[in-house]
Amino acid sequence: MFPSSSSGALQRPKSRTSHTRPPSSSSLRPSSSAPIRPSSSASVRPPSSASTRPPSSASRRPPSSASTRPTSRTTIRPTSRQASSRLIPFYPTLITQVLGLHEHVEGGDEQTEEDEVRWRNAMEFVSESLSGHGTKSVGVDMDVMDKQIRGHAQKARINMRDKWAEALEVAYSKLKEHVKCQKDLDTEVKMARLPDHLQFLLMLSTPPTSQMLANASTYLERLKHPPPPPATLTWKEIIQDEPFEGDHWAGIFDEEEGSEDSELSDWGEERDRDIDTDTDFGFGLRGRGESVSSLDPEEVHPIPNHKNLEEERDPRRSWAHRQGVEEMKEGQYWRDEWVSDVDSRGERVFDIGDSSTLGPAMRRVLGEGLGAKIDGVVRERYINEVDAVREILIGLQGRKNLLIEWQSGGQQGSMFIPSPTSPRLVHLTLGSQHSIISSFARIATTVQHLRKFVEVVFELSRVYPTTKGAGERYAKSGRRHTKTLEAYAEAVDVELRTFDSWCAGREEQMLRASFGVVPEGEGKGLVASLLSLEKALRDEFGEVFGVLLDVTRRVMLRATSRSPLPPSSSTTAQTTDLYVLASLPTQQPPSHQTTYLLNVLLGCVSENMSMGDGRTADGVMRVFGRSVEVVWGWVGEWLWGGMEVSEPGLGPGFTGGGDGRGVDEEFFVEDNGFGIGDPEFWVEGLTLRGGDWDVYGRKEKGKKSVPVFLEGVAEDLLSGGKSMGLLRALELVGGVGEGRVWVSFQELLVRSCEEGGKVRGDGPRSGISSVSPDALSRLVFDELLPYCQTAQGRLTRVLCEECEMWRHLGAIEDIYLMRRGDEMSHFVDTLFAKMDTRQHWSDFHFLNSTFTDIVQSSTKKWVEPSLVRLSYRGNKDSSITRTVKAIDGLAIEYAAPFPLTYLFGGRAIGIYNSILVFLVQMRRAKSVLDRILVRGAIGGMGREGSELKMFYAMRSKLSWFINTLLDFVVTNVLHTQVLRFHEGLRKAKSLDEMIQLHDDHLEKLQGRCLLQDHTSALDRAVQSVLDMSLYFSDCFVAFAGDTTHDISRVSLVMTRRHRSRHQRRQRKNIIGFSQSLLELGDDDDSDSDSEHDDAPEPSFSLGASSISLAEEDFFVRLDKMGSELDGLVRFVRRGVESLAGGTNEAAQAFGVLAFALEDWDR
Amino acid sequence: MSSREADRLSAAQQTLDLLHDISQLLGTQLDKETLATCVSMIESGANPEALAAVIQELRRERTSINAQSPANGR
Repeated sequence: MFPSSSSGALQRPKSRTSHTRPPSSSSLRPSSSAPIRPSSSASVRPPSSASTRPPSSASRRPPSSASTRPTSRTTIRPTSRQASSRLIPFYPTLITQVLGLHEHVEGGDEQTEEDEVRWRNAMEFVSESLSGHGTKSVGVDMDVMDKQIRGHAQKARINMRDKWAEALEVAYSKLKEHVKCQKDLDTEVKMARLPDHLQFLLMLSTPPTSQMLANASTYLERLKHPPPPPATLTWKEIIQDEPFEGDHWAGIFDEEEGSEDSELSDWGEERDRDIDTDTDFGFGLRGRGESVSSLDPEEVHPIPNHKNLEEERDPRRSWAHRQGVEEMKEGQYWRDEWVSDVDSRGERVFDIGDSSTLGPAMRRVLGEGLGAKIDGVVRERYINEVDAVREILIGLQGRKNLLIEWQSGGQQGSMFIPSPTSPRLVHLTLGSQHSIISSFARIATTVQHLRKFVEVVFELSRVYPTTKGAGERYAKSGRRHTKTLEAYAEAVDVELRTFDSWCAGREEQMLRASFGVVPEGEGKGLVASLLSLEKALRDEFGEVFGVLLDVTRRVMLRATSRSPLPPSSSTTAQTTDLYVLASLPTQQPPSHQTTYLLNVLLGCVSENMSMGDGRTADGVMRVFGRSVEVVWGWVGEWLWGGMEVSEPGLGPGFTGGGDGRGVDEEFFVEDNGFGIGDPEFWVEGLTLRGGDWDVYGRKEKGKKSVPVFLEGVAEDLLSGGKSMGLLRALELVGGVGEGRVWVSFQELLVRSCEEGGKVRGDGPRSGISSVSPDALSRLVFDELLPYCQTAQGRLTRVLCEECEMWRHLGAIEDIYLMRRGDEMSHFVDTLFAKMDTRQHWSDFHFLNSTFTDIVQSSTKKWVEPSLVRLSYRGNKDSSITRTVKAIDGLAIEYAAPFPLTYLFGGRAIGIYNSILVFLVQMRRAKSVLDRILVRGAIGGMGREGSELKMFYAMRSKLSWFINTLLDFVVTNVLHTQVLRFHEGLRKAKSLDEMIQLHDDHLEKLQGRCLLQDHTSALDRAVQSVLDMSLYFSDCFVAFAGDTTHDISRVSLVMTRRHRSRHQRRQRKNIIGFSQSLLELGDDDDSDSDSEHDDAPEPSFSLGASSISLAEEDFFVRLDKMGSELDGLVRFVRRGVESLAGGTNEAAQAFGVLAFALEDWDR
Repeated sequence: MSSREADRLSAAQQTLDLLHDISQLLGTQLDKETLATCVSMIESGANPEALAAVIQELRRERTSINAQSPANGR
């Protein structure tokens, strides 16, 4: 609040100069209208509003004057006796501008009432304050102001604010100067008042801040560089407007009416409208400043009346000017007015010492008519060779020129040809000029075709967007080119630009030289002739554009051809314009196109290097380096991130990795759509794309569609990326390239070139130079292999350590290869016991529960029973008593956890299972034979000893063979091979290697167990021997009763403390060497079975026989069996010997068996 | 309007511009319009010291109004 309103008596504000003011007369001011106000309306105010208001303000708030508000503001104006009436109109403006309040509006709400009070107080205060001094002038003069301003500047200088001081002084001097110039007594700001103004400003001044210093700098800057005057009205704008609309037409018709003053009067009126004449000063009130500034005479540029002046002054109409123009035209060789400084009219005779006589002389000799017929030049206009070179340089950049012109749609396709209207060179004959220019036309054609190709590719890539999915879709539909081709087009474009800038640079050099501006080092020995230009071109670029054109044509022909055959060399294909080919939809798979392009490029590098054309090879190599970046980038992504992993069925642990990156259609790795949980995923899920065509279009079966420089490392790349992806899936990912920076392909090339340069001792060479494909392959291999190995190594470690690969492998070998002798023997013995008693042994629950029981009774936990599932899939009808083939149906599945399923997949487990079945079959036969006892008691039965000896001999033969075979399989095949495999597996560095080793291992096992297709005859023979054992057992039982005994059945007793009644019953039929021991050991058994005390039964029983053959038949049968067995064993021996005679690794193993079988004859 | 009048106005405008420049340099925090009002008032005979004091007082009042407004929840 103002002092007046709070205290009731006015306290005049203290001035900055601190001089005390005389007591104001305003103290005598009658009190405000407050006493006559009605009671405050505050009582009806809503309490909420009142409560939030600060009490001080509320208490001091004057009562509302709403009801008795004076009708006019003037009525409450203090009756300031001395106030100058001239000042009064400014008060509201000042208050509005400074305080931000506006005059009260009738019917305002409570808010405005408050403002109204403020407004009135402010009005009172201002009028009181100013009326006190009214028109009294303090009387400072200009000298005082000068001193004060100088003082300010000096102070600023001391404070190191030179700019500000300078700005102040400059502004001050400008002001003084300006006001001095105003001699007019009516000026708005009078010189006499200037000190007052300045004093006023100085009193309000504040110490310089950074903003003010910045203002000072800006001010000085503005003085130095005044802004350009605003754009003036031009005829163009006037014409563009609607006819007769707009301000600028305002005076036209008046002028036409002939009133000289009308224009002025219009202006005058307009200005009068702008300036409020009510106020003394045009800039006084809000908004006025703008209208005034728009009338700044400096900014207003009246349109001069040029009508006649233009005609008088137009220099184009003067003769001298015309002459000058004509002379200049004569100096311009491209104009018809060009006048050569060589006399070409043909009057000069041929002079062998003056080359400029050659052309005209030849023409003269050939005659006008003949000359016109010669292809090429028909008009006789001579230009200098320098200009011809310049024209050729322009033409090479694909621009319009005098010497060569673009002819589209010719028989040989579009091309540049020497222009028929081209000017001639005096020192060349028609033929030689045509020949030279044709050579340039060929180069220009090549370059132009490439330009058009680049243009089309860029256009297509612009039309079809590159968003993920869409880009691939377009590429698939052939509407858009592959990314590599786009990169290639860009690389070609870079080369073209280099070419263009070279041409432009050469032209610049020539022009500079012609004007004598030759910078140091440049233009030395510059020769501006067509032949030197041709040589320089060849030296600079070699055949690079020709090669690129050829490459592009081959690639585009191949891409757009429907058949996978190599591009045809037909004339039609060769003359089809390249840009037409580039616009056609592509037909080949993107990856093939990419591989083909890169291979062709590299092939060209190699060809040119071998021919010693280093310049061309370097150029093509640069293009190759840029084109390959796309594939290189994918290789990087592949190695850093691996494949996309998304397997919703795998649960929370396997969601990682899938960030939407798919394998690009163009990349050489193909996604075959297997889920990561599929056991075949690792081998089949992601593979290298196949492509049956090599670089030269030759058919090559099994060839992968991998760029040739990546072929060496492709398998490792595939494996490394897959390892990385799997690690991501297992959420074990870490930076594979920790400490390594992925470099772009070009950097790699440059680095190798530099290293190569150092090695050769000729210093590092800048840029990319050509590298032979072999060296490139090695370079890439060395660069990529560490990434692959890191990923593979990490995965191998994870498999071994976190996935417990060795534990699972051990369990599998224990089960399938029966390396866990005791437990697996117990298991098969249980099975055999079931078989012997002709019970149903293949029951699913029996198999699984037996196995689980055996595993659980073991002291050492060697396998998790939950991972093992046994089943029988064979034909239930085939009797185990007749053939061991019945065991074929036994299947054990081992469910290795992910990701070991890749290693122990279904196929591997199947092979393991077949080996297990083979082992069980042999053991079955062996157990049957072992149960046959031939004891002295048999002799007591009255039989001939020789007869029994025959049985005994037969049993021995069978046992010998089966034992030999089993011994060989267990010792020389399984044990040896497993040891070797483990040794190899420990050294394996990648999952792929592990899988490969495992597969090889299984193949070897299978082969040596004679389970492969090529040994199926031997396998059948072995099966026959095994079946024969069963048959022999049956015969023997039929002959001698059940004299069988299986000592191994004891193991069953040992496995379970509790013996069932059934087992006891079985045991009663057993006579064995272990019987007494067992009985002794079981003495403490409290079982009170009545059978327990029965005497041991005889070891054979006649009643057990089910074979009711005549006794004579036994011996016939034995004879038959004997001879058959002999034949079978010899067959097997021969087969094994032939296998042992091979050159492969298995030969050694079979040699052992062959050696063992040699004993058969002894 | 006569050209003389226009000249007069443009001269006034220039003077005002120059004064505004100085005002800016001195950091008076007066905008062009307020300066124009003040110049007019001084030309009309207002005491520059008193005017400066009034402006300072009005600014103080404005600050207090602004401080009060948020407190009142406006």
